[in-house]
Amino acid sequence: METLLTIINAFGDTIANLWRSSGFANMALDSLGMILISLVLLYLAIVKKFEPLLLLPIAFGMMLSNLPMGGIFHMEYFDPDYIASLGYDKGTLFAINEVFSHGGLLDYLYLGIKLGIYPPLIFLGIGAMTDFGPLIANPKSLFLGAAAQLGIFLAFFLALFLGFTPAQAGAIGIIGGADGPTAIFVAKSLAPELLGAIAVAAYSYMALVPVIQPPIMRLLTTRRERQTVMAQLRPVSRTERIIFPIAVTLLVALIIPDALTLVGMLMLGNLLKESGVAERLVKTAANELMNIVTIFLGITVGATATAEYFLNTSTLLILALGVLAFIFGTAGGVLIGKLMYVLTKGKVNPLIGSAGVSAVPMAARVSQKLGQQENPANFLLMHAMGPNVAGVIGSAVAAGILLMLLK
Amino acid sequence: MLLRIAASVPWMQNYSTVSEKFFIGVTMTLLGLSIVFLVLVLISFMVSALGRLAGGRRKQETPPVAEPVASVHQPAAVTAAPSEEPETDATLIAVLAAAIAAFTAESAPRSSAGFTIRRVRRV
Repeated sequence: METLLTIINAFGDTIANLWRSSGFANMALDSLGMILISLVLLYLAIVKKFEPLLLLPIAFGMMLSNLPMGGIFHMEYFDPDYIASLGYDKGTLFAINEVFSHGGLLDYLYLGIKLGIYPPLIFLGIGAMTDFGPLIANPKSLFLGAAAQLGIFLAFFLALFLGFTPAQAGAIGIIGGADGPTAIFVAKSLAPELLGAIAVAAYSYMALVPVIQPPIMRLLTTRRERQTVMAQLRPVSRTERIIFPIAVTLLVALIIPDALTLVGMLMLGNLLKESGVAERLVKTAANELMNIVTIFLGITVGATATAEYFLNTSTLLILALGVLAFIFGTAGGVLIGKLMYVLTKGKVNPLIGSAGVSAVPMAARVSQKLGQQENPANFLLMHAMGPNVAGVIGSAVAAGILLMLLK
Repeated sequence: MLLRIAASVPWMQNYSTVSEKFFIGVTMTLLGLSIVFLVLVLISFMVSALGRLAGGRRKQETPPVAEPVASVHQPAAVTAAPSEEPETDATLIAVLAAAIAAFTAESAPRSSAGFTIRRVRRV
């Protein structure tokens, strides 16, 4: 009889322990909220096809790191305050011993972001896929690519007034660059605590470019301007295509050394492509490597959005500032486009200005679509690709400036 | 260099009052935007110069290519072409030579110089 009781007790204890160490008993309400958010993002990625290649891993990473007791990711190991409380030197990037003795899979993969490895590798792939031809054929596109960076700095301005520190404001402003890897690259240095919110905002708004941009473009242009048909671009020689990435790297790196990593990798990818002698490497950079890095980047960026760091008013402010940054960027591009329309006596369609926010090639497609709605004989796609790829260079340069001034 | 100096000035240390925030915001916006413009305008000039050096050579080449080819090869073509009406054929060949030259110059400017019309056959 006594033995039976002992067995029943032991059984009961084990079940109780199992329950206590299970996720159900340890689920905090805010973590549950984050899991629900991740499910919404998964819905947006899978059903609505919002940048699914990134949003899907981001949403799943978010779900994984908010599940209690799994130990797959410890955001606190990367929190400067926590690192300082453990007695590490100021400026130590992560709690080195903790990561290597108690870290989970995503802690290790997150090092690729923390050490600034993934975004430049993605840029390598983007470079290998980008055709700078339209930009070389029409160098004035670069004005539009520069003007569209207006959103970054105006969002910075607003963020300061909303109570963010200059470094945080810079990291929020870069959302206006409409370039996911650039935003992550800047945020991980300037405001790692906001990385999750910034990445989610940047990638969601990039997917929403066809919704955000057209009303602003219509508002700022007249029907006549939108109907402008542009002359065909001149053909670009192979020599020009090969010299371009080399010259841009040298020029940008010498003026803004902090932009070297992003611009350098972008241009290396492009040189591999245009040189025509490294086809295997181009294929790897633009496909396999890019895909692998995208998975790592997505899942770890999502993982940083834990309840403690994501569920607060800053996230809502960041989402609001992000959309404003996109709007200002679009407006900046379109307004300079209008100026060019006037200066060239109607040879430049101002609609291509909005493509200056990077978001390749979505923003260029929006210009094409709006142009064609007004005038079915209007083909703006190639003309808009110029400012579009100029925007990639522009936002990388702006990122370099923010890093240099705010780090 | 300019940036290094700007970065070393402690103008961003205090950001508590509205006026300080305004100062930082305006400075950053103006400084940031003007540097972005400066860099991209420099790239723009560089690309234009590149176009004039590498792309411009093509422009000078294209027009002369079409004419000499037609005139140079015309005699060869005339002698080579077996014909009933030499005069009409000479004009025809000249026209054909010019058309081919113009066409090949468009698609591959540097390879257009070396062709000869040996025979024209009516189909």
